[in-house]
Amino acid sequence: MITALIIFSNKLNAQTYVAGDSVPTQNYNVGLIDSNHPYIGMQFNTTTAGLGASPATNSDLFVRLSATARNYGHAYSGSGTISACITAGTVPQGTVFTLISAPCTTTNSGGSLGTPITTPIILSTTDQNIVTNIGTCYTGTNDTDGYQMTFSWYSDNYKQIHSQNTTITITFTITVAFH
Amino acid sequence: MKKVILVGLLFLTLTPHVVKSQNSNKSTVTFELKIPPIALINFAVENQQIISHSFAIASNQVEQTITKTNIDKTWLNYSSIVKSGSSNYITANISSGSLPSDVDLYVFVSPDAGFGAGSLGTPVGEIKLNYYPQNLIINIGSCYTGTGTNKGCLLNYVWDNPKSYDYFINYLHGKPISITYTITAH
Repeated sequence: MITALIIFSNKLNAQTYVAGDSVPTQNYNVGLIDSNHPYIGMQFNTTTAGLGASPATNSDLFVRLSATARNYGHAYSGSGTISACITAGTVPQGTVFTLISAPCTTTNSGGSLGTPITTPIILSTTDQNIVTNIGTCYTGTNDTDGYQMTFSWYSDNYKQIHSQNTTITITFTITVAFH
Repeated sequence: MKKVILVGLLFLTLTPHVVKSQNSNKSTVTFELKIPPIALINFAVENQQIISHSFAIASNQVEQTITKTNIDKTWLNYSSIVKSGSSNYITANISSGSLPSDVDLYVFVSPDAGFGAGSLGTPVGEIKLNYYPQNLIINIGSCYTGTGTNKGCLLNYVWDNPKSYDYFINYLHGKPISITYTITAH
Protein backbone atom coordinates (compact mmCIF):
# COMPACT_ATOMS: atom_id res chain seq x y z
CA MET A 1 0.00 0.00 0.00
CA ILE A 2 2.83 2.35 0.89
CA THR A 3 4.67 1.50 -2.35
CA ALA A 4 1.60 2.14 -4.40
CA LEU A 5 1.16 5.55 -2.86
CA ILE A 6 4.73 6.61 -3.72
CA ILE A 7 4.41 5.52 -7.34
CA PHE A 8 1.14 7.38 -7.56
CA SER A 9 2.83 10.43 -6.21
CA ASN A 10 5.65 10.24 -8.77
CA LYS A 11 3.19 10.04 -11.60
CA LEU A 12 1.65 13.23 -10.41
CA ASN A 13 5.00 14.91 -10.24
CA ALA A 14 5.40 17.62 -12.83
CA GLN A 15 8.99 16.55 -13.56
CA THR A 16 7.75 13.66 -15.68
CA TYR A 17 6.83 16.15 -18.41
CA VAL A 18 9.34 17.70 -20.77
CA ALA A 19 9.48 21.49 -20.76
CA GLY A 20 7.79 22.70 -23.90
CA ASP A 21 5.13 19.97 -23.93
CA SER A 22 1.49 20.72 -23.61
CA VAL A 23 0.81 19.64 -20.03
CA PRO A 24 -2.77 18.78 -19.08
CA THR A 25 -4.41 20.62 -16.23
CA GLN A 26 -3.36 19.13 -12.91
CA ASN A 27 -4.38 19.42 -9.34
CA TYR A 28 -1.52 21.88 -8.96
CA ASN A 29 0.29 24.57 -10.93
CA VAL A 30 3.06 23.44 -13.25
CA GLY A 31 6.00 25.45 -14.47
CA LEU A 32 8.74 23.67 -16.38
CA ILE A 33 11.68 25.35 -18.06
CA ASP A 34 14.54 24.11 -20.18
CA SER A 35 16.65 25.27 -23.12
CA ASN A 36 18.38 23.99 -26.22
CA HIS A 37 21.64 24.01 -24.19
CA PRO A 38 23.90 25.74 -26.72
CA TYR A 39 27.60 26.24 -26.20
CA ILE A 40 28.01 30.00 -25.99
CA GLY A 41 31.42 31.57 -26.28
CA MET A 42 31.72 35.32 -26.71
CA GLN A 43 34.83 37.36 -27.37
CA PHE A 44 35.95 40.96 -27.46
CA ASN A 45 37.90 41.46 -30.64
CA THR A 46 39.17 43.92 -33.21
CA THR A 47 41.74 43.66 -35.97
CA THR A 48 41.86 47.36 -36.84
CA ALA A 49 44.28 49.64 -35.02
CA GLY A 50 42.32 52.49 -33.48
CA LEU A 51 39.02 50.66 -33.11
CA GLY A 52 37.61 49.49 -29.80
CA ALA A 53 36.99 45.78 -29.39
CA SER A 54 33.59 45.11 -30.93
CA PRO A 55 30.63 44.46 -28.70
CA ALA A 56 29.71 40.80 -28.92
CA THR A 57 26.15 39.49 -29.26
CA ASN A 58 24.74 35.99 -29.25
CA SER A 59 21.25 34.69 -30.01
CA ASP A 60 21.81 30.93 -29.88
CA LEU A 61 19.75 30.27 -26.77
CA PHE A 62 16.09 29.24 -26.94
CA VAL A 63 14.26 28.84 -23.65
CA ARG A 64 11.25 26.55 -23.72
CA LEU A 65 8.65 26.01 -21.09
CA SER A 66 5.36 24.49 -20.10
CA ALA A 67 2.96 26.19 -17.75
CA THR A 68 -0.44 25.10 -16.63
CA ALA A 69 -2.72 26.09 -13.80
CA ARG A 70 -4.45 24.13 -11.16
CA ASN A 71 -8.05 23.84 -12.19
CA TYR A 72 -9.94 25.86 -9.63
CA GLY A 73 -13.08 25.60 -11.69
CA HIS A 74 -13.25 29.29 -12.44
CA ALA A 75 -11.57 31.79 -14.71
CA TYR A 76 -8.04 32.80 -13.85
CA SER A 77 -5.44 35.15 -15.19
CA GLY A 78 -1.86 34.04 -15.64
CA SER A 79 0.94 36.04 -14.16
CA GLY A 80 3.81 33.64 -14.59
CA THR A 81 7.27 34.98 -15.30
CA ILE A 82 10.63 33.96 -16.66
CA SER A 83 13.41 35.61 -14.73
CA ALA A 84 17.18 35.45 -15.09
CA CYS A 85 20.19 36.08 -12.91
CA ILE A 86 23.89 35.27 -12.67
CA THR A 87 24.40 32.31 -10.34
CA ALA A 88 28.09 31.61 -10.92
CA GLY A 89 31.04 33.66 -12.08
CA THR A 90 31.46 37.40 -12.46
CA VAL A 91 31.04 39.60 -15.53
CA PRO A 92 34.51 41.05 -16.27
CA GLN A 93 35.21 44.48 -14.85
CA GLY A 94 34.50 47.32 -17.24
CA THR A 95 31.91 45.31 -19.16
CA VAL A 96 28.15 44.85 -19.10
CA PHE A 97 26.20 41.71 -19.98
CA THR A 98 22.61 42.25 -21.09
CA LEU A 99 19.71 40.05 -22.08
CA ILE A 100 16.49 40.53 -24.00
CA SER A 101 13.92 37.95 -25.02
CA ALA A 102 12.08 37.74 -28.31
CA PRO A 103 8.39 36.78 -28.24
CA CYS A 104 7.90 33.02 -28.20
CA THR A 105 8.16 31.27 -31.54
CA THR A 106 4.80 30.31 -33.00
CA THR A 107 5.58 27.08 -34.88
CA ASN A 108 4.89 24.56 -32.12
CA SER A 109 3.59 26.72 -29.30
CA GLY A 110 0.18 27.41 -27.84
CA GLY A 111 -1.60 29.26 -25.06
CA SER A 112 -0.82 32.50 -23.27
CA LEU A 113 2.90 32.81 -23.89
CA GLY A 114 3.45 36.08 -22.10
CA THR A 115 5.17 39.31 -23.04
CA PRO A 116 8.92 39.92 -23.15
CA ILE A 117 10.32 42.94 -21.32
CA THR A 118 11.07 45.48 -24.05
CA THR A 119 14.32 46.92 -22.66
CA PRO A 120 17.38 44.67 -22.25
CA ILE A 121 18.10 43.87 -18.63
CA ILE A 122 21.62 44.19 -17.26
CA LEU A 123 22.27 40.76 -15.81
CA SER A 124 23.28 40.66 -12.16
CA THR A 125 23.06 38.32 -9.22
CA THR A 126 19.53 39.60 -8.58
CA ASP A 127 16.67 37.86 -10.38
CA GLN A 128 14.98 40.10 -12.97
CA ASN A 129 11.94 39.36 -15.12
CA ILE A 130 12.47 38.97 -18.84
CA VAL A 131 9.02 37.62 -19.79
CA THR A 132 5.85 38.36 -17.83
CA ASN A 133 2.12 37.59 -17.96
CA ILE A 134 2.61 33.94 -18.79
CA GLY A 135 -0.60 31.93 -18.61
CA THR A 136 -1.25 28.31 -19.43
CA CYS A 137 0.97 27.62 -22.41
CA TYR A 138 3.62 25.50 -24.03
CA THR A 139 6.44 26.51 -26.37
CA GLY A 140 7.22 23.32 -28.26
CA THR A 141 10.24 21.16 -27.59
CA ASN A 142 12.48 21.62 -30.64
CA ASP A 143 15.86 23.35 -30.43
CA THR A 144 14.51 26.50 -32.06
CA ASP A 145 11.19 26.54 -30.22
CA GLY A 146 10.58 28.95 -27.40
CA TYR A 147 11.87 32.36 -26.45
CA GLN A 148 15.00 33.32 -28.38
CA MET A 149 17.35 35.10 -26.02
CA THR A 150 19.81 37.72 -27.24
CA PHE A 151 22.82 38.45 -25.07
CA SER A 152 24.97 41.53 -25.58
CA TRP A 153 28.35 41.99 -24.00
CA TYR A 154 30.06 45.34 -24.25
CA SER A 155 32.32 47.73 -22.39
CA ASP A 156 30.91 50.58 -20.35
CA ASN A 157 34.32 51.60 -19.00
CA TYR A 158 37.09 50.71 -21.42
CA LYS A 159 40.06 51.46 -19.21
CA GLN A 160 38.82 48.93 -16.66
CA ILE A 161 38.95 46.06 -19.15
CA HIS A 162 41.68 43.49 -18.74
CA SER A 163 42.46 40.53 -20.92
CA GLN A 164 41.00 37.42 -19.31
CA ASN A 165 38.92 34.33 -19.87
CA THR A 166 36.03 33.66 -17.57
CA THR A 167 32.91 31.55 -17.26
CA ILE A 168 29.55 32.71 -16.00
CA THR A 169 26.33 30.82 -15.44
CA ILE A 170 22.92 32.35 -16.02
CA THR A 171 19.96 30.69 -14.32
CA PHE A 172 16.48 31.05 -15.80
CA THR A 173 13.55 30.56 -13.47
CA ILE A 174 9.92 30.07 -14.36
CA THR A 175 7.53 31.14 -11.66
CA VAL A 176 3.91 30.24 -12.16
CA ALA A 177 1.29 32.04 -10.15
CA PHE A 178 -2.34 31.83 -11.18
CA HIS A 179 -5.17 33.67 -9.54
CA MET B 1 -0.04 3.22 14.19
CA LYS B 2 -0.15 2.06 10.58
CA LYS B 3 -2.87 4.60 9.92
CA VAL B 4 -0.73 7.40 11.32
CA ILE B 5 2.19 6.43 9.02
CA LEU B 6 -0.09 6.28 6.01
CA VAL B 7 -1.64 9.64 6.73
CA GLY B 8 1.82 11.09 7.29
CA LEU B 9 3.10 9.74 3.96
CA LEU B 10 0.08 11.08 2.15
CA PHE B 11 0.71 14.47 3.69
CA LEU B 12 4.39 14.47 2.75
CA THR B 13 3.97 13.29 -0.84
CA LEU B 14 0.91 15.20 -1.92
CA THR B 15 0.95 18.37 0.14
CA PRO B 16 3.77 20.19 -1.68
CA HIS B 17 1.85 20.05 -4.93
CA VAL B 18 -1.64 20.52 -3.67
CA VAL B 19 -1.21 23.57 -1.52
CA LYS B 20 1.51 25.33 -3.46
CA SER B 21 0.28 28.39 -5.23
CA GLN B 22 3.54 28.61 -7.17
CA ASN B 23 5.72 26.06 -8.88
CA SER B 24 9.19 27.20 -9.86
CA ASN B 25 11.72 25.48 -11.97
CA LYS B 26 15.15 26.46 -13.21
CA SER B 27 17.40 26.02 -16.22
CA THR B 28 21.02 27.13 -16.45
CA VAL B 29 23.24 28.21 -19.34
CA THR B 30 27.00 28.63 -19.16
CA PHE B 31 28.94 31.27 -21.09
CA GLU B 32 32.62 31.49 -21.86
CA LEU B 33 33.63 35.14 -22.01
CA LYS B 34 36.98 35.94 -23.57
CA ILE B 35 38.90 39.19 -23.64
CA PRO B 36 42.16 38.56 -25.51
CA PRO B 37 45.16 40.85 -25.16
CA ILE B 38 45.24 43.36 -28.03
CA ALA B 39 48.16 45.42 -29.37
CA LEU B 40 47.48 47.03 -32.76
CA ILE B 41 49.12 50.05 -34.37
CA ASN B 42 48.80 51.82 -37.71
CA PHE B 43 49.61 55.10 -39.42
CA ALA B 44 47.17 57.63 -40.78
CA VAL B 45 49.05 60.10 -42.96
CA GLU B 46 47.75 63.40 -44.31
CA ASN B 47 48.63 64.10 -47.96
CA GLN B 48 51.11 61.22 -48.21
CA GLN B 49 53.30 63.11 -50.67
CA ILE B 50 56.50 63.36 -48.72
CA ILE B 51 56.39 60.44 -46.34
CA SER B 52 56.05 57.27 -48.34
CA HIS B 53 56.13 53.56 -47.96
CA SER B 54 54.12 53.44 -44.78
CA PHE B 55 53.24 49.85 -44.19
CA ALA B 56 52.54 47.28 -41.54
CA ILE B 57 55.29 44.82 -40.66
CA ALA B 58 53.04 43.05 -38.23
CA SER B 59 49.77 43.94 -36.53
CA ASN B 60 51.77 45.53 -33.70
CA GLN B 61 54.48 47.09 -35.86
CA VAL B 62 54.46 49.70 -38.66
CA GLU B 63 57.25 51.31 -40.63
CA GLN B 64 57.45 54.49 -42.67
CA THR B 65 60.16 55.85 -44.90
CA ILE B 66 60.91 59.54 -44.61
CA THR B 67 61.81 61.38 -47.78
CA LYS B 68 62.17 64.93 -46.49
CA THR B 69 61.62 67.05 -43.40
CA ASN B 70 58.53 67.18 -41.22
CA ILE B 71 56.02 68.43 -43.76
CA ASP B 72 53.42 65.71 -43.79
CA LYS B 73 51.46 64.90 -40.71
CA THR B 74 51.48 61.35 -39.49
CA TRP B 75 49.01 60.13 -36.88
CA LEU B 76 49.50 56.99 -34.84
CA ASN B 77 46.27 55.02 -34.35
CA TYR B 78 46.38 52.22 -31.82
CA SER B 79 44.23 49.74 -29.92
CA SER B 80 45.23 48.04 -26.72
CA ILE B 81 43.85 45.61 -24.17
CA VAL B 82 46.24 44.65 -21.40
CA LYS B 83 46.12 42.02 -18.71
CA SER B 84 45.65 43.12 -15.14
CA GLY B 85 48.74 44.82 -13.75
CA SER B 86 50.37 45.17 -17.16
CA SER B 87 50.69 47.95 -19.71
CA ASN B 88 51.63 48.40 -23.34
CA TYR B 89 54.09 50.91 -24.71
CA ILE B 90 55.01 52.22 -28.14
CA THR B 91 58.63 52.42 -29.18
CA ALA B 92 60.31 54.04 -32.19
CA ASN B 93 63.62 53.21 -33.87
CA ILE B 94 65.49 53.74 -37.12
CA SER B 95 64.97 50.47 -38.92
CA SER B 96 66.51 51.21 -42.33
CA GLY B 97 69.21 53.60 -43.61
CA SER B 98 71.79 55.45 -41.60
CA LEU B 99 72.29 59.05 -40.60
CA PRO B 100 75.56 60.95 -41.14
CA SER B 101 77.30 61.50 -37.84
CA ASP B 102 76.53 65.22 -37.80
CA VAL B 103 72.80 64.77 -38.42
CA ASP B 104 70.20 64.03 -35.79
CA LEU B 105 66.60 63.10 -36.40
CA TYR B 106 63.98 63.81 -33.74
CA VAL B 107 60.38 62.79 -33.50
CA PHE B 108 57.85 64.71 -31.44
CA VAL B 109 54.69 62.94 -30.33
CA SER B 110 51.64 64.94 -29.30
CA PRO B 111 49.04 63.92 -26.70
CA ASP B 112 46.12 61.82 -27.89
CA ALA B 113 43.56 63.83 -29.84
CA GLY B 114 40.71 62.60 -27.63
CA PHE B 115 38.50 60.68 -30.03
CA GLY B 116 38.90 57.26 -28.42
CA ALA B 117 38.44 55.89 -24.93
CA GLY B 118 40.33 54.20 -22.13
CA SER B 119 43.83 54.59 -20.76
CA LEU B 120 45.69 55.99 -23.76
CA GLY B 121 49.09 56.25 -22.10
CA THR B 122 51.60 59.06 -21.72
CA PRO B 123 53.54 60.45 -24.70
CA VAL B 124 57.14 61.20 -23.77
CA GLY B 125 57.15 64.26 -26.02
CA GLU B 126 60.38 64.13 -27.97
CA ILE B 127 63.04 61.53 -28.62
CA LYS B 128 66.23 61.56 -30.66
CA LEU B 129 65.79 58.57 -32.91
CA ASN B 130 68.33 55.82 -32.78
CA TYR B 131 68.76 52.33 -34.14
CA TYR B 132 67.47 50.70 -30.98
CA PRO B 133 63.82 51.11 -29.85
CA GLN B 134 63.08 53.88 -27.39
CA ASN B 135 59.82 54.53 -25.56
CA LEU B 136 57.58 57.03 -27.29
CA ILE B 137 54.25 56.44 -25.48
CA ILE B 138 54.28 54.64 -22.13
CA ASN B 139 51.74 53.22 -19.66
CA ILE B 140 49.14 52.39 -22.28
CA GLY B 141 46.28 50.50 -20.68
CA SER B 142 43.13 49.23 -22.37
CA CYS B 143 42.14 51.82 -24.93
CA TYR B 144 41.55 52.80 -28.55
CA THR B 145 42.28 56.05 -30.37
CA GLY B 146 39.83 56.03 -33.24
CA THR B 147 40.97 55.53 -36.82
CA GLY B 148 42.22 57.96 -39.42
CA THR B 149 43.92 61.34 -39.45
CA ASN B 150 43.34 63.65 -36.50
CA LYS B 151 42.85 60.57 -34.31
CA GLY B 152 45.45 59.25 -31.92
CA CYS B 153 48.85 60.91 -31.56
CA LEU B 154 50.46 63.26 -34.08
CA LEU B 155 54.10 62.66 -35.06
CA ASN B 156 56.42 65.43 -36.20
CA TYR B 157 59.93 64.81 -37.48
CA VAL B 158 62.62 67.40 -37.07
CA TRP B 159 66.07 67.27 -38.66
CA ASP B 160 68.96 68.72 -36.73
CA ASN B 161 71.82 70.22 -38.76
CA PRO B 162 70.13 69.76 -42.14
CA LYS B 163 72.48 72.24 -43.87
CA SER B 164 75.33 69.79 -43.95
CA TYR B 165 73.16 67.05 -45.29
CA ASP B 166 70.80 67.33 -48.23
CA TYR B 167 68.56 64.55 -47.19
CA PHE B 168 66.44 64.72 -50.33
CA ILE B 169 69.47 64.05 -52.55
CA ASN B 170 70.62 61.26 -50.33
CA TYR B 171 67.17 59.76 -50.57
CA LEU B 172 67.36 59.90 -54.35
CA HIS B 173 70.60 58.02 -54.12
CA GLY B 174 68.85 55.23 -52.36
CA LYS B 175 69.52 56.00 -48.75
CA PRO B 176 66.08 56.41 -47.24
CA ILE B 177 65.57 56.52 -43.54
CA SER B 178 62.83 54.31 -42.21
CA ILE B 179 61.33 54.52 -38.76
CA THR B 180 59.53 51.59 -37.14
CA TYR B 181 56.92 51.99 -34.43
CA THR B 182 56.07 49.00 -32.25
CA ILE B 183 53.35 48.53 -29.66
CA THR B 184 54.20 45.81 -27.20
CA ALA B 185 53.51 44.65 -23.66
CA HIS B 186 55.67 45.32 -20.67
